[in-house]
Amino acid sequence: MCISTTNQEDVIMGDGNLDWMDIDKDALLHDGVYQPTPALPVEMWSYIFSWIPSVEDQLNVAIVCRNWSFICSLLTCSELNLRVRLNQDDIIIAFCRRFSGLRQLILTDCLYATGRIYRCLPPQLEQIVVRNCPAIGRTAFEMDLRHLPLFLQKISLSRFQHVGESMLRRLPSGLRDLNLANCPKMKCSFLQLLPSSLESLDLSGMMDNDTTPSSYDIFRHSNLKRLSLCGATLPPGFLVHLPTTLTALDLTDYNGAVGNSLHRLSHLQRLKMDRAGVPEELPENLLALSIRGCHLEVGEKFLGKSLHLEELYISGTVRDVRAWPKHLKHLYISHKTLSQYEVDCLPPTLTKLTLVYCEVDAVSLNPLLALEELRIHSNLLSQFPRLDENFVTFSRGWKHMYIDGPCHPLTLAQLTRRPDLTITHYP
Amino acid sequence: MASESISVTTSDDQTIQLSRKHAQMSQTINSMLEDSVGADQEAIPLPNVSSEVLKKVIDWCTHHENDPAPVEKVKKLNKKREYKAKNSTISDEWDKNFVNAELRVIVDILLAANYLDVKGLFELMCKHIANELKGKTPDQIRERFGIQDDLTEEDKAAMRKAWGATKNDS
Repeated sequence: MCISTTNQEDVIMGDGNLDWMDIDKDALLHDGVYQPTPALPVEMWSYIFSWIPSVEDQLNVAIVCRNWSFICSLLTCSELNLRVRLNQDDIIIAFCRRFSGLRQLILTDCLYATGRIYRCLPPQLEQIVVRNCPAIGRTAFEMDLRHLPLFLQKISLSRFQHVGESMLRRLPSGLRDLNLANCPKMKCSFLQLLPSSLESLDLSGMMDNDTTPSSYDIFRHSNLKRLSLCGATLPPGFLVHLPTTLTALDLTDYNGAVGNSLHRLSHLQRLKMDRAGVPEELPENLLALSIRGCHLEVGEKFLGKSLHLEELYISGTVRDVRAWPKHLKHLYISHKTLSQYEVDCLPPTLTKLTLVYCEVDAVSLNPLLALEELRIHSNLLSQFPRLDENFVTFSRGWKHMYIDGPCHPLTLAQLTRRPDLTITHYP
Repeated sequence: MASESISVTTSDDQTIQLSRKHAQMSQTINSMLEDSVGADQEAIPLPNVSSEVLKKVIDWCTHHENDPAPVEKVKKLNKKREYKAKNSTISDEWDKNFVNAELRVIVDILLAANYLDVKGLFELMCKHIANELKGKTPDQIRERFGIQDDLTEEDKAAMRKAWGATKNDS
């Protein structure tokens, strides 16, 4: 039988969450060692066991054999993470039909799972997340969402090829999180069909350019907190329609002018604008900003004035940083040649520094940094920071270090002198 | 007007007539009937059900033909979302007699009920097998169902601890 989990003990104990990967149905039914007699599918045994009321009887059943112990653990499972390599989706449907207590279903790499599963979801399901299941949503026939669970709060219809108005009308009225990323492009009038309860919406790559600005008013009157418009085709001036309730916004690849239009989003805490234009001013309460691939010379006016910014993601296209945000805790830098000045003025609040393919050979890290974690991804030995004789002093507060790439033996020897430092090295 | 009887072909190539009312108690046959409206009424193939088992299913459907349709109940769980087992009592005397059969037959009917999607019959068979498991030691269950013990003593001890039980595997 081919069942593997991240933690075998969890399966035996049944801790309420289950990560059941790589199910081979044929092996499950016919394996000589684990095959229960008489041979019934796992989901059917589980349904039978759900009629056993006493804990003593449940235990007696669980210790009959390894297979039954696993099945019993499913009874209390509220979260199921499936990765199924089957040529059909029957086993997923069978699971959904029999595990009525399931709250969260995550399907990953289920290559043959189809949209039929949406008709058979457990009535108590609150979240369904689908990752890399290319057959789901391929045909219009499967788009019947009438039977979606009443309490469903999160659904991913990412990459569905036949998203249409009739389907969107059938979404549960209490839905909070909807992912329509990379579905076929639609005019924004479809937004009116979405449940008003939505707090999180992913429209990455699916918005079609609508030249009527008022069409976007639906955004302004929504209660959205998280919105992703990565790669969406948006008209000029669109940003003024964003709701002020937003706390997280993804405008990756947005090609319009940003100007001051984001400043009014006073609740915005996370902003991702990779490969987009950079705003003149940042929202006042912003905590995390990603501007990788943005071309700008930021100087002191921009980042230095971001009073609350704690996380920053930049790349080599951000040049000549004269001042970092004062309260920065996590800094991610990729493909950038760091100047000695940029390193020297890193704020003392910094606890996590990630350097991906950065040129830092001529740089020593500031010994005053309060770093707890340093991650270095490098393909060249010369890009590794020079950790000289001062290393022992300035690495005192570090707890974790991740090195993905070559590391000089002497440097590694210095690192390993610290017994309280966790080092993960992928040479 | 739709015919009052339906022909089905079983896995052993028997053609059996059953009333439309009984056929519609099976969601599987019902869907097939809906899909074939207006088409020539050929026998519906049931490749996963033998004639012997189908006759048992028809017997059960005949006895329960006037039962109200089962309703899918959606209950909100408590905050802890605790698992609660269902009541497996079989109250109908006819049903008690019906399930008084060899385990092999019970399993065949269970599989047929699952394939035909006859909810009431499926639940009855599950309840019966659950009742068979109740009050038995692991050894007795293994003997009854012909199962090999492949757990180590350490596994069993860990599970007993997890279940909060002290009872020994007799």
